[in-house]
Amino acid sequence: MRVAAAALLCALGVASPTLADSHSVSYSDWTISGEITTLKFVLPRVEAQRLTGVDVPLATTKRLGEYLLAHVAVQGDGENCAPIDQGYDIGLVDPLAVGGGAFGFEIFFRCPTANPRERVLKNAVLFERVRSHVNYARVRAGGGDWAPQLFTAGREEIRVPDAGAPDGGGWLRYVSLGFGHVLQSLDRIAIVLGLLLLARRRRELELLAVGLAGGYALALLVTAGSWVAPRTSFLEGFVGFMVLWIAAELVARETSRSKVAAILGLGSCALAAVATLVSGWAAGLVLLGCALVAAGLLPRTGEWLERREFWVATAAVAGFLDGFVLPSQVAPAEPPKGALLAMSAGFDVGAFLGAAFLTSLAIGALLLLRRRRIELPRPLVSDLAATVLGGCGAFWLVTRFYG
Amino acid sequence: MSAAPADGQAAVRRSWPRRMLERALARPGRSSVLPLAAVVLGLALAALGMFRGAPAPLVEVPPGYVALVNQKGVLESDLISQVENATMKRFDEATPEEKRRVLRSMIDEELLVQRALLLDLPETTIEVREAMQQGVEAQVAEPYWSLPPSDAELRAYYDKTRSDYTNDGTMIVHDLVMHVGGFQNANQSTPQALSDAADAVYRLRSGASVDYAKEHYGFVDSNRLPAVEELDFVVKMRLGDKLFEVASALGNGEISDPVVDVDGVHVLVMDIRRPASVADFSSVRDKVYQAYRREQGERATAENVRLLRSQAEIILAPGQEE
Repeated sequence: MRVAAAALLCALGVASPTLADSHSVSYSDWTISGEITTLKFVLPRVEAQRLTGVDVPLATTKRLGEYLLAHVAVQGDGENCAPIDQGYDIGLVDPLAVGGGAFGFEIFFRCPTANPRERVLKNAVLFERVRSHVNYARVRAGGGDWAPQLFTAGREEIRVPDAGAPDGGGWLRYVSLGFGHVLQSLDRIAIVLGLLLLARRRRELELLAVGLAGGYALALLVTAGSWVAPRTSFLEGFVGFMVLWIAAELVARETSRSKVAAILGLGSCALAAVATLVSGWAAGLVLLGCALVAAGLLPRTGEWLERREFWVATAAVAGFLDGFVLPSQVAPAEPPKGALLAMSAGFDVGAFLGAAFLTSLAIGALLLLRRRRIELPRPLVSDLAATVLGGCGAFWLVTRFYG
Repeated sequence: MSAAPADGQAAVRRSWPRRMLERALARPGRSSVLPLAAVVLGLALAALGMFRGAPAPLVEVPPGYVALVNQKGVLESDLISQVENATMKRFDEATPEEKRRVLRSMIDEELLVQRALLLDLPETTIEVREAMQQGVEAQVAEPYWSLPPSDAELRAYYDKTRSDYTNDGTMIVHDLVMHVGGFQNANQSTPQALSDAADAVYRLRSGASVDYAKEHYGFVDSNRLPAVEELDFVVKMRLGDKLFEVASALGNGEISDPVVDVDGVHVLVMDIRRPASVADFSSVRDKVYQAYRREQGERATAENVRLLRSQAEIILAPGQEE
């Protein structure tokens, strides 16, 4: 009965699109040469739709250009550098062809003096709409190397001294970015809290921490090797499956493990068949893998919960997948390998700390309740959590494989 | 008694996979091997789908290329042909400085082309669009152009389009006019003038000179034509359609019947007439060849556009027609 109720809620889609995590990113290149600063800005299509509310490329390009011009600026020694008119049929913002799925623009800024002592690059694009938006920027001054930079809400200016490239993006900024990533991503929160619900002992929490750290380290190693590139959408889809699996495990504890395993396994197989036709063989392969994992894992988890390897491996998978978030986001900016590893390491540390912070909050809340002698009815909490996680997981699984 | 040791030896001799299998079969409900294998296999399959081989950036110039410009190759064969074109020498004979100069210009060109694509010039600049259109037209016509037409084909085409190869006719014609009803000819009526003109025509056809006709019948030069050989279309422009129709029917030395026009009665005296003629094939073979090629190109373009239209989705705004 509970299985049926949970499955029904999943099918009804308790999760709305607003629950989906949005990795909101854009890219900008700033080239400084004498009095001219050239800005090349690239917005992924999803961000363009968010800004303009339309899906017609012709209308989008014009509106985006106007919006961009109003939200970027360059100053030289405190004076505004005016954008240059690029001709009667172009204007101040020149649209660029940057390939499918993105909109590109170019603006030239001319400063009043040829070599200002300090130049300030300003970018406020999207921050007023999406606080978590990140602009991965590169700055090149005087023909030097590209310096990776970040524009985030609250850090919408970069100061470039006359002497050359600005200070690097700063490792701590990436730590902060990783920390924010976990706290602002509902799917990551769902995984952390879901694993917390499965764990019953402190020892298991320690094992989860070890596994998570190991997963991040492994992802860093793979990133360093540059052997593979992630298919981001499918990777995020697997994260959705993990949430769904946690929900299934919570349901299976109270009902029949074999039935839940059969439902999740067969459901994944059916999705795999459709995904192969709709999204290609890779999506089908991932979902087939999900079906096998569900069929193998769910009937045995009762025993395996007692084993250390289970906790370490589960957290390692989550950490490994999360370790590819920054490399895939920053890939269009093509950072040098050394910079990418430093950025990823900072991001992963931040994400780990974010997960730890979230766990501390949850445990703190439980301790507080216990101190006040408020006892939560565990079966009810478990059922509610399973329902919400099941709905969200199913939603993420489907939208990320078919979206 | 003897069977027990033999069984024991057989048990010792069994390999470990077989023992594992027997154990799994004996206790299927408790075995973790198959579920674990399913989980590992599932994770492996998922990983295969979630990751793909990272595209390795080219750091060395591949064989057959001489340079990489933003990961785009400059072909060695292109360099050879451009060096030979630029220096008018064989590639081996060109100096290293000449080769360097040509390669530099090719790299510059590649950079500019890449910049043009980034700026979306094919979408925004008329000249680029025209060049692209011509490029596509030349490409679809190439299969036709690669086979030179035979003389028989050209001649058949010439026969079909013979009217395109006519030479314009020429003539030297005197246009005599007897004015009617003017200040100087107030008493002259048209029937009288026609009667006089008919008489004059009779005289002229009998061998009288033009001056005689002028002197005895009051004809004057209409001054519409100079007394030189003119192309037919010039004569038509100057005489007007009515008189030109009469003139073009005359042969050398022939005299027209009187013709009434707005300013009086005209008589045309044809000195020399060279009628329009069709040029023979051998004298216009080059023109025929060019026209034949042009028509092939137009036909190929039309076929290509028809194919493209059949594959395209074209949506017109309300009220628009094409």
